[in-house]
Amino acid sequence: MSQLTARDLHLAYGPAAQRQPVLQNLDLSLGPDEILVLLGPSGCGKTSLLHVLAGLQAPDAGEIRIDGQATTTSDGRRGVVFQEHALLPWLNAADNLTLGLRLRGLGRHQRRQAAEDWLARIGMADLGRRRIDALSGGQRQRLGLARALATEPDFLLLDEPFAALDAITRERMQVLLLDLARRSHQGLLLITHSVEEALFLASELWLLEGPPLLVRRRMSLDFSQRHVAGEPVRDIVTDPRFQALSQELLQAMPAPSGRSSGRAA
Amino acid sequence: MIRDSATLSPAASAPSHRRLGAAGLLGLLLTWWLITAAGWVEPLFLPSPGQVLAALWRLHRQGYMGSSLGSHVLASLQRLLAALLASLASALTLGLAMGLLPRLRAVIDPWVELVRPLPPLAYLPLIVIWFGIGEPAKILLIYLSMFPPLLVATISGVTRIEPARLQAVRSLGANRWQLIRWVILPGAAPPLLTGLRISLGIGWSCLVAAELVATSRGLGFMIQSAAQFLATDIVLAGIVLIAVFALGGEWGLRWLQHRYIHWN
Repeated sequence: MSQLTARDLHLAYGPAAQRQPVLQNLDLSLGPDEILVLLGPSGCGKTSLLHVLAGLQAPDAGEIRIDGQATTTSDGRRGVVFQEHALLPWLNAADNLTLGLRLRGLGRHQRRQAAEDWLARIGMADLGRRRIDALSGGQRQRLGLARALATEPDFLLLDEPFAALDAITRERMQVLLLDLARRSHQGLLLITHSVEEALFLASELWLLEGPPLLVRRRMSLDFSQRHVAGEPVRDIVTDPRFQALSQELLQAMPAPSGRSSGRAA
Repeated sequence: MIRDSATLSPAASAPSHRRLGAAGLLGLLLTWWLITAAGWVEPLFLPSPGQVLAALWRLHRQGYMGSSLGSHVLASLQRLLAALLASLASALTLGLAMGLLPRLRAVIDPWVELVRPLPPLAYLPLIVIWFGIGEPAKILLIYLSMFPPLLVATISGVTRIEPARLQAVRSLGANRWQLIRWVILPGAAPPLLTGLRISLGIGWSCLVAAELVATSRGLGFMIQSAAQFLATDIVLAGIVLIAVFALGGEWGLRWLQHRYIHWN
């Protein structure tokens, strides 16, 4: 599996006179089986970072390497899951799911096979022919996740993927994500403003503030490994250490303007 | 905004309203028949529905001015279709380029804004001076009238594509052409079809005008020529034919829109 490294990233927005720095001197590394969670308030620059890492936005300075090789634009090796599922309403569920394979020139037969496999894996086995607008929010988000994973990228970057979902669906999605990630050993980077989500999923957690984006705290966590090892979600989130960390992070989180701070929905 | 003015509101296409609309049309036809049957208006000014039908039949059997009715219809449809295809191809190409390249758009936008509000018939004489009175000049006039709404619709379709969709498909590894094929064209299809409906409407009116000049075939010619002989029944027959084809095109496009373009 591959290693992604970003070095000395710089990015600023706005006209020359009043450029707002978003990223400054940012270094980051992501390897197989890692789940790096970026926790921070809205507007701190974490989505910009994700776009730069995904190759969707060129940094002003700095470089991104995959296994030592410099990359510039998106190349299909870094799958992205978006906050709003960003599915294509002119394709049905199965065709959305396998679009990445189609872009790579895979034939109809292989695509159908892949669609069947993935739809079963995300619990949507009979919904392949559904239109996107006939799916629930949770189903759309599962489909967005499967679409990004179907091309077997080396890394998966997720931008608040579950923010729009209700609490129960959200928890199911988190478990599904862990389940899928464990099988494929991708390096995961997930953005969230939910403290509980961050604690539960992260193998490494960065508490952010900004802009410009600044890492206030880094911590290594093992709650997701405990879940993968078989411990139920309920036991993990009621663990006193989980609760204590949750309180600690909530208090440490810089308050975003005009929004309640990031408690899990 | 184009869409709002051209699409019937949902209420208007509800079944009960459609029935009301049909009743209104029927009422108009009935009034027409009553007026003529009662002899309140001379047939020279307003022939009865039956006389118009008879004129249609006569046109069908005998043709008009040396050409069969079919060849008049065909001449008009060919002109319209040629202009339609040309404007569709050029508006799509230019609209895509302008939508994707902001600088190109900045350069060309003022030209479009300059030409768009001009009534095409205002520059008809100029076209005659520059390009003569042949078939190409007629098609050019229709083309020039149909092109701007299509271009504007394409640009608005391309520029209103959701950035997240583009990013998502780029992250799947799509190149520029694949982005156009899978995201931009389908995303731009709804406003494009609406633009097409507007274009066709303008195209029909310019077609009739184009056929005023130096031609011996076409529905517009037939109407004009019949008017000079005060053959009002033939004039009305020609108008009915144009209405049938124009409505047919409009309904066909609307059907396409509902059948295949459910997103929007």
